[in-house]
Amino acid sequence: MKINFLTKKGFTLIELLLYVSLSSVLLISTSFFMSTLLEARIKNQTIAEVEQQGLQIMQVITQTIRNAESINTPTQGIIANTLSVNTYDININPTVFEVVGNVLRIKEGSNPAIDLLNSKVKITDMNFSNLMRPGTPGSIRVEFVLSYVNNIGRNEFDYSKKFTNTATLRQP
Amino acid sequence: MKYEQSQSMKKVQYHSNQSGFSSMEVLLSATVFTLLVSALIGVYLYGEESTSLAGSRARATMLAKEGVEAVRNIRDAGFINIPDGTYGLSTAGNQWNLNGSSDVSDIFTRSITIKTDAANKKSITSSVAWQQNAQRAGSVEIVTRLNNWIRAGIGDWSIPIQQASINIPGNNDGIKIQVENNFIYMIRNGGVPNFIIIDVSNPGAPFITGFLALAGIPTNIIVSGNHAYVSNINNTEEMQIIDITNKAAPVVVGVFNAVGNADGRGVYILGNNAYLTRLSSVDNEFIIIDVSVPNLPVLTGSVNLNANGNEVVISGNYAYVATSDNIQEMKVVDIANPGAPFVAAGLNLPGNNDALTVTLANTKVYLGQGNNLYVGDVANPLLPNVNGVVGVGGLLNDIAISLGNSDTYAYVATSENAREFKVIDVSIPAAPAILGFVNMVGNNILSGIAYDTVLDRAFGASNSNTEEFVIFAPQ
Repeated sequence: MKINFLTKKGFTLIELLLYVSLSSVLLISTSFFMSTLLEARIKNQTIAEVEQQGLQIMQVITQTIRNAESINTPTQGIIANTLSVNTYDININPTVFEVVGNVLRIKEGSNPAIDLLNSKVKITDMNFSNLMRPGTPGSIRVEFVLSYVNNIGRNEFDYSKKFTNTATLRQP
Repeated sequence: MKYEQSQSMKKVQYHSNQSGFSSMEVLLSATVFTLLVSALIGVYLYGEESTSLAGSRARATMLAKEGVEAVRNIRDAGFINIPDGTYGLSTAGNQWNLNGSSDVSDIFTRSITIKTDAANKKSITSSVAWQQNAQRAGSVEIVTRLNNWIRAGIGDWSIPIQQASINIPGNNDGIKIQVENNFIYMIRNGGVPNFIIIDVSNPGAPFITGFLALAGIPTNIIVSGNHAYVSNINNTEEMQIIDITNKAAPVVVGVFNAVGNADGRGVYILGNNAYLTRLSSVDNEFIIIDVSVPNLPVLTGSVNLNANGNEVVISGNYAYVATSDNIQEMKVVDIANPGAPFVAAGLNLPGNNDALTVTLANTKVYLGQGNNLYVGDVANPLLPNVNGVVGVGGLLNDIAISLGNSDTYAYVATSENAREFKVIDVSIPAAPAILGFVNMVGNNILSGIAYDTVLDRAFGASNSNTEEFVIFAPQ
């Protein structure tokens, strides 16, 4: 019986080593998978945040331009980082889009300025170009780069895209 | 129970001895786990990619939209700026331009196709293509339709104004007038010149480009292609054919001498045939002339109207003639066989005044009789009937219809001294109504009127000695 037991113990050590190595491989791969998964999930959120906010503010800006009565600035052929338009509602004239400290703001008439972006994203290279033909109501090209705020420099928070669109004023 | 337990204990021991089975189980479960996790990670990775692709698609849509908006702005500066073709966009000179056949921004390639759908209507297709990943290409297409709304024809004719005029040398009266491709062709009842060509491409500043002294006294005019056809009282030249290719030097290329001496009064052209109507005489008043060889007009057929044929218009197989007949002020002549025309029907207007002028638009006929404008229906040419009538305050001398504006306006030249030019809303045929008028300086008779859809101007010929030619504009 004793001999038998000792023989069995020897096998158990090898087995133990085998189990430990197997489980460590398994755990390492599992945690690697998990971290990849989490990274992918966060990156997904980052991309969605930038794309959706970019789309949203682009729609707000182009819709305002399209429905505007006239453009105050920029004038024909000028590129500026601030846009000022007059709408058909005198209470919100002028409606101004401006970038202050990487945040896009809209200011309608004498109302306080409102941020159009949350703190997760920042806007850079904001350009409003008035590319209208002479004698037309106006055509503004809107360009900006929207980036996810990435203070710790991690890859999953790194996403930046350029958005371009144009809105032409309708004839009065 | 004890026996059973010891049996199972034995079994467990027996199994644990077979350690190989356990590793297999571990490997199996690890594999299953790995598969599951891989699938899960795949979901997230593909999810991430598709979020990114969706973003690209959204931005591609914006670029396509930009193409449409830019073309809209280019159109606003003039419909002529968007000729058919495939273009890219450029911002040369800090304005939108159509340039090349495509343009690239970031990963996107954009091309804009402009195609004519109908007159003054174009469809704009803005397509953006990009490579989504190594295997997949993406594309987005936005289509819009742009109209030439700037085109004249939508002016407010309720308060027309006299925009410009020309004093033609001599005191002879302007009689009839035609407009085609920015040029006016006007005739006068004598003097030199009695045939005048006027450039009205800028309606604010018309100028004479050429003129002629025709034999006799011209009475009516129609322009088709490179020729003007003039009816005349001259006994050997009842119809004159004038080559107007050179606007500075029109030249008579052919004349037609109708049988007898009755004055030519009305003329119309359709295809290779000219249609001439004359004052009443023993000879036939309605004459069809083959003018396929302009310097050799040939009689094709004729019919007697038993009345003055004052003016004529053609549509399909029928000619509509304004006559002096008291029971058939308008006669419908079947011209299906040009060699043997015959009067197929007639329209009796109240009273015995002569119908002096007739104009046609689609299935409606507009007749000037005395001081009245009659709107008639000729949907069935053999059964013409009157829809409505309006008094115009003076002798109605000539009618022009705005075909470009849903046939809603008739412009009439009258003899009413205080309101020579009138605009009549004929959108409701049963109830035509005066919309606006212009009182020319002095007491004049406006004898001829023509309207141009592109310019949205009416052109009048009057008996004024200082402004034989006048341009009326909407406000």
